[in-house]
Amino acid sequence: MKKLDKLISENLQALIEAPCGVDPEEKWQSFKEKYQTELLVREKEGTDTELEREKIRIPFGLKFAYIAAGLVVAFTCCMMNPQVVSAFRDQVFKWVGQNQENELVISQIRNPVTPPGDYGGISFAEAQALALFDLQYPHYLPESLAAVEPQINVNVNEDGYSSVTFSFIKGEAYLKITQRQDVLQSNKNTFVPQDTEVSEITIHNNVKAVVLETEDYTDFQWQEKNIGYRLMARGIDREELIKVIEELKTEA
Amino acid sequence: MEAFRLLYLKYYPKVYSTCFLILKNSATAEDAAQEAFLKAYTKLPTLKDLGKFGAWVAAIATKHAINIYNQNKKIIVVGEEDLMQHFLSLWETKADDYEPCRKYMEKETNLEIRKAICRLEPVLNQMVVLKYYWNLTDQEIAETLQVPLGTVKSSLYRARRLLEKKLTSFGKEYFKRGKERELIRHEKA
Repeated sequence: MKKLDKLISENLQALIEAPCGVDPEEKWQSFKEKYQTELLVREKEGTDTELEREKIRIPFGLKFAYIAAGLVVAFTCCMMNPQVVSAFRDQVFKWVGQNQENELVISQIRNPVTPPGDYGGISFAEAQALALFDLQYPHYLPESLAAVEPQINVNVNEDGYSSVTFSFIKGEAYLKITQRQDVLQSNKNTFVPQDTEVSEITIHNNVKAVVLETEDYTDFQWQEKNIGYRLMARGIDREELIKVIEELKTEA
Repeated sequence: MEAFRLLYLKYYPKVYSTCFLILKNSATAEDAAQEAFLKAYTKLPTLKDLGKFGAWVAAIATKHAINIYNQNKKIIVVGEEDLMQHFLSLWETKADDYEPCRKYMEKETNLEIRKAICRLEPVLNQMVVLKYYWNLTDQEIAETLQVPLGTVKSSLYRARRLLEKKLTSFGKEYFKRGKERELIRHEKA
């Protein structure tokens, strides 16, 4: 067996020490660049995680503590409120597992893709989970719509961007608020029919909104933080509608 | 950084070749080697014996190489014949010219053992290269790769058995002749 060991050793030496056709100096340059990039990424992310993989390695001693704490929290939440399914506000889903080297790894999927399509008859929490931005909900409603539950619809397009509509309808009164991500640059023309009064108002202290008014409806359009908003209403006073806009907040 | 550069220049080709032996693909071998040096640079203070820097980086690199292999099992396609030619072209013999028969036999045996090493499955290749080239003990391999000592021992045993089996008539004859030569030398002494 020693002869075989020697044979293996000699041949491995010949294989590994033979010229391999790579220039170490050249590779050193690419190593330095890669290292600089990783440093920048770490600074940007403010973590000590590995580049690209988003792995957080945890010292061996803490493994069980983390798992135990996680189980206790999960169990307690389930026991206290078994009906509620909570969504992560920042769309970060986490789970704990082990890699092939038996290291504990917390994996993260950010902004999981929602299949394109129309989602109707859903709750505010479900709409919030589908939309990748903070939804605004009217905390003030005109008296005629005060007790009305909204119909919520979400449309997710092929690029993963979503638009969310809250519709409040009761008799002749109608109020529809649409919120849409406007992250990409685009040009949009709004057709202004005859006999339409066009004006501009200031809302939320410094945001300009365009108002289109006809005998039948009132239409407000404005943009805030890359989200496009549109409020259309029928049978409701303009002043009441401005109150609705001013009371749009991120929680239902 | 300058001191690390010297270590890098010294060990990169060997670490790269080690990964190449496991992955049999130059691009992925390069990735594994670079990743290993990046990790080594950040973890250098944890290395107790600087004299084992090469073996340490190589062990890290083989871990990366095995991960890459597992992730890309269906993607890496390499003509084995090309690889063989690459290794064979680098073949050197230590035999003297006065014994052409022995030289021929040695050459054929070396060729067979190299082919057999290259054909080992990556995990066995990893163990063999760390043990026989980088001179890590079984215990050190187990600690570095964070696997049980028993796994290392059984993998090495399996690898040796496989290599032994792959040695066909030439190799066996070579061993037999070697034993005969030793006996003659012993008798003469």
